[in-house]
Amino acid sequence: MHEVSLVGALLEQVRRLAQEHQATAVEEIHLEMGPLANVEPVLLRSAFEQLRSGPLFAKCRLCLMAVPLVGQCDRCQQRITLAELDFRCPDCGTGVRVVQGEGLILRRVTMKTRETT
Amino acid sequence: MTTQIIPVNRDVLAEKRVAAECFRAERTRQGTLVVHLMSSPGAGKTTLLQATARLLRERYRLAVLVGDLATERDAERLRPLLPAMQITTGGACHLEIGLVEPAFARLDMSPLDFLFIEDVGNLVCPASHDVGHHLRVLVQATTEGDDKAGKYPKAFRTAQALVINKIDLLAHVPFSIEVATADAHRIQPDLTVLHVSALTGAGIAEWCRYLENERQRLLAGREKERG
Repeated sequence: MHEVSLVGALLEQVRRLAQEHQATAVEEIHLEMGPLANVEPVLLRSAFEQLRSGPLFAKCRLCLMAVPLVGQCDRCQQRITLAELDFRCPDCGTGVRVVQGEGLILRRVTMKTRETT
Repeated sequence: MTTQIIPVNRDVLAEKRVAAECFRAERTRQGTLVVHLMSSPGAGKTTLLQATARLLRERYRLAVLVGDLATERDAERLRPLLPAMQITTGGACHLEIGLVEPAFARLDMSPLDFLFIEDVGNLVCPASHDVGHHLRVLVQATTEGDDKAGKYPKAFRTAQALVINKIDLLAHVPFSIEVATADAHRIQPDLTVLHVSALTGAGIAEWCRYLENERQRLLAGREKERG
């Protein structure tokens, strides 16, 4: 259910991008997700198959990249890869700020366009 | 025809966040603290809101938006105490700003002091969505087990407060407040943890004081920005 909502939002964004660049086809959508994105890749792909429609997405490939959870301790000024779900800085115990791995990020889109670059 | 690689580097839900940011900013301007309540089904969100309204409604303008898949049962329970608008989602397991905004517009009230948003009973999906709130509060019942934080990290990570409810049942359940609190603080070290029984009223005064303080902080922050 959640993946359906995400894919809906994703396809809307990509459609708008396609319009801006006068694209006739989207070839690849590159996504990045971390442990806190609450995304199950299998369900995401299934939602994509469900919601893709029209010639724009007919040959589109969904590329998913998993990234680790990275936090920043503002007190120690260090970046920490969070191997397990413990959000306290291992050195000073302060709560860290998550800088990677929290959402589903649309990194880039490869499209066939009429534009000349 | 050329093949172009267009960099985007945007959260897929970024757009929805913009709408939520606007809603939140407008509520800040009006001095309304928006409190988002999340929990598993049956943890006591509605009962907590009833107890809260009983204590706060004499001194503050309150209203609530309630999300449920079906029925108006929660809104009906709340209406005798404060203006309540039910959002019946049909199939959606969580509230989003797209559902919150029209419901708020239908409430049609002059500036509130507190707007409560009671989400669908669900510790998973609501955690990923910004409903335009200032404060996200998780309600965890003693009857649920004290190991929830690690199992639902996003919910606990994105919350500012945890209300442990049904403390009147502690003698009858294998729930440790210490274990639950430690588990929660592992995920979100800045979480304020409160212990209540919405049914008996224990801890409700402290919970209401917490809400009042949070609203004062919001107003102070607003004045700072204006000044």
